[in-house]
Amino acid sequence: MLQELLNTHCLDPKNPRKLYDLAAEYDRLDQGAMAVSLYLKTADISDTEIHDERILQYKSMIGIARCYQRQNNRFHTVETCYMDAIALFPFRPEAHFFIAEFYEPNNKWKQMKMHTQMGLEYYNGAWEVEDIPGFDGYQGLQYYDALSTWFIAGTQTGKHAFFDLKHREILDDKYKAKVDHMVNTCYYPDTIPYKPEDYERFKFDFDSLEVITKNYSKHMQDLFVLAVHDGKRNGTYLEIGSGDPFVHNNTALLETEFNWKGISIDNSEALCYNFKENRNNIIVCSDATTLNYEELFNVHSVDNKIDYLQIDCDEASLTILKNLPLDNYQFGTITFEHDSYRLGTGIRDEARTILKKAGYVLLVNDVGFFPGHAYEDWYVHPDLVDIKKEMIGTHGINFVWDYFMEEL
Amino acid sequence: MHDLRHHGLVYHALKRGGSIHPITLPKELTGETGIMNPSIFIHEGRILLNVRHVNYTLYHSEGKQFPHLWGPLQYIHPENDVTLTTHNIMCELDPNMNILSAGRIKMNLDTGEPTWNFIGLEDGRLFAWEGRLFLCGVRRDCYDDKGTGRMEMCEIEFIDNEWQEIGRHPIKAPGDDGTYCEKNWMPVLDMPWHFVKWCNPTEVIKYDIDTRTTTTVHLDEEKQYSQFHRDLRGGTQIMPIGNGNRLALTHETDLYKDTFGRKDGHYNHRIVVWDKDWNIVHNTKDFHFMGTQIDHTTGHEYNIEFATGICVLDGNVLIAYGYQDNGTYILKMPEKVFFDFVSKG
Repeated sequence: MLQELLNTHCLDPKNPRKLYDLAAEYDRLDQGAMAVSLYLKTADISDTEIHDERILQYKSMIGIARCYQRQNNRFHTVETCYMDAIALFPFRPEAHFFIAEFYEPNNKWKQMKMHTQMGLEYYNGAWEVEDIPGFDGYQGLQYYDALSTWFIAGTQTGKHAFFDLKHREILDDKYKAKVDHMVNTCYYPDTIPYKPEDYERFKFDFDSLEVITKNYSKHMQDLFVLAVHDGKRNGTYLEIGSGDPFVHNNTALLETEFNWKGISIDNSEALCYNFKENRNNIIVCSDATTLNYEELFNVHSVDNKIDYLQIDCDEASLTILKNLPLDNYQFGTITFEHDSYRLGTGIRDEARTILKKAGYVLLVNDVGFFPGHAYEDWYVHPDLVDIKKEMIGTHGINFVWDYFMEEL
Repeated sequence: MHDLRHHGLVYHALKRGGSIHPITLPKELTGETGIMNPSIFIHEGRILLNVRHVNYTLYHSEGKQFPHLWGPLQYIHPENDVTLTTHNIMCELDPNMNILSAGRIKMNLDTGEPTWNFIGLEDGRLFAWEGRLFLCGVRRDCYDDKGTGRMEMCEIEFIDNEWQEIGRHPIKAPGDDGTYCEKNWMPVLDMPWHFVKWCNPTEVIKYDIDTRTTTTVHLDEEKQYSQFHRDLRGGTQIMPIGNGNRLALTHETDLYKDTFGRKDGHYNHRIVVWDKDWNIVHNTKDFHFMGTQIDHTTGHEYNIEFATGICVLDGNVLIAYGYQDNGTYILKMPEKVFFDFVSKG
């Protein structure tokens, strides 16, 4: 092949197409230096005003950069060759991808971010797809965009970007491995929100799911409650450990979109103030471990059948559970935080005993916010709701994403 | 076969039964940086090719459409390595110019730290005198910290399945040995221990390997040839062609600056024929091998190429040349075609 292409070039030496083909063959054979010379000749003898030749120039400058990249320690040369390519076709995505990829070992995260953003922006534009070896397409740009996002700030945004790639995109093996590595490195995000694009994959369809554009729970507890109750409107709740009125909050969606009423309890004055300012339902600022719940329910005329109980109070969850008048009040659904991944299984197991005795069915055991970290149990009371078999969790840890979503 | 300024010698040779042979070496041996300035020689029935391997890859935007940020002609070596390091890779070829073996010559006599940034034996020409095989090039890493360079004969042998240096002979410059850098001397194949130092006027020197002294044996300064606009610098070995005549490929360089004062340049070649008394009796026009860039003001094409080896094998002339410091080729053509070009070119 090389011999044939060389002969072809030598007999028609000013033909940029033939020159490029020879350069690409040298490149393919890992003969980087000679490929550089031939790519550069291709670029030099091509006419920038002729589209096809401008394309050859573009591909040649990318080729040169990649050859130097393989030789290592030629940062300025590699970078500027990619810049030459970008200058030829700023609105094509390939060179943006390659330069982003090049920046990775050089830790140039801001530069990487700029180019991935441009590449993603232009990817869907009107550009003619060329066969450029090594161009990994949209997923490559997405990966480097996530990578730069993570390394620029090290925040949840980067974690979400990798989570989305891992769970919301179909990746080839190369990027699947890279993304898995990064997810294991930077860990899962604190929250796993539902997005409208997840609708088709959501296993437990309920009334009005299709209109939900945003939920607030950390791990879709609000959707669990709604799914159990078939998207019930005008439901009721008792929320112990309510926290922020919206951020990571399990009842915000119920109140704002489904008109549920209820009582929220938290011992932080600041959080309660914030809650009062931003939500319409009741907030009680109190120590949930010592609160007289019967009295509270009487004061607020709470019915003895309540649709949802949240207990999310870390180590205090068990004490609170024991303090509740379970004999006189029933809850359709319960999300109970036991944090067994860090506190061991004592709290979890004692709570299970108490709730089983009170007639509850453990529907989803050991809910995990990460495939290896269980922190909640989710219960239903069969007297108040129908148990949907498809919503029964699996043995072991039920990672929330896998629990709610069909595989891609 | 006239005016090789168009398309180059390779084009014309291919049109007349010649062939071009690319030399590629494994990346494990080269790291994909430049391989160039090859010298071909047939020794004891083996077709040997010495290739200069450097730690840089030349970036040369001949058309200046895409100059490097530091200029149109740049030696791109590792950014953490300021040296220009050369290794010599010896290849054995079959008659079809396929590589049978390739390996770095083991320089057993490299001792001590280099004293300058140009490291290694550069542009070695391969030849044998009195049955001893030599690689002769310039070395600049052992005289001082200013880049003083001297030609050096490196005697090599195939020992324990690899090519190894067994002797080293630095050659003093003739006279008071006061020059800065000697390079590109051309060994005269049929005159042991003789080199042509340069060509216009032709100076022939003799090296005494026993006393390690250098003597000028021919220099007629009145014989300067006005048709040559530039120095005729050494290229290949000088080979006998009958009737006491000898022939070599020489090279000429045009070095210049671009608009912003950054270096640029290109090379041309020429074939020179001497008679037995070292008169230049014939020369071709300057030509290139496979240049693609054309100077529209002169109509001339140009390139950076460098031929450092020539030999005859089975009725064919083999010319080994480097391309842009980055590639290595052997041009093969029937003797008749070659000498037709010499006479008409």
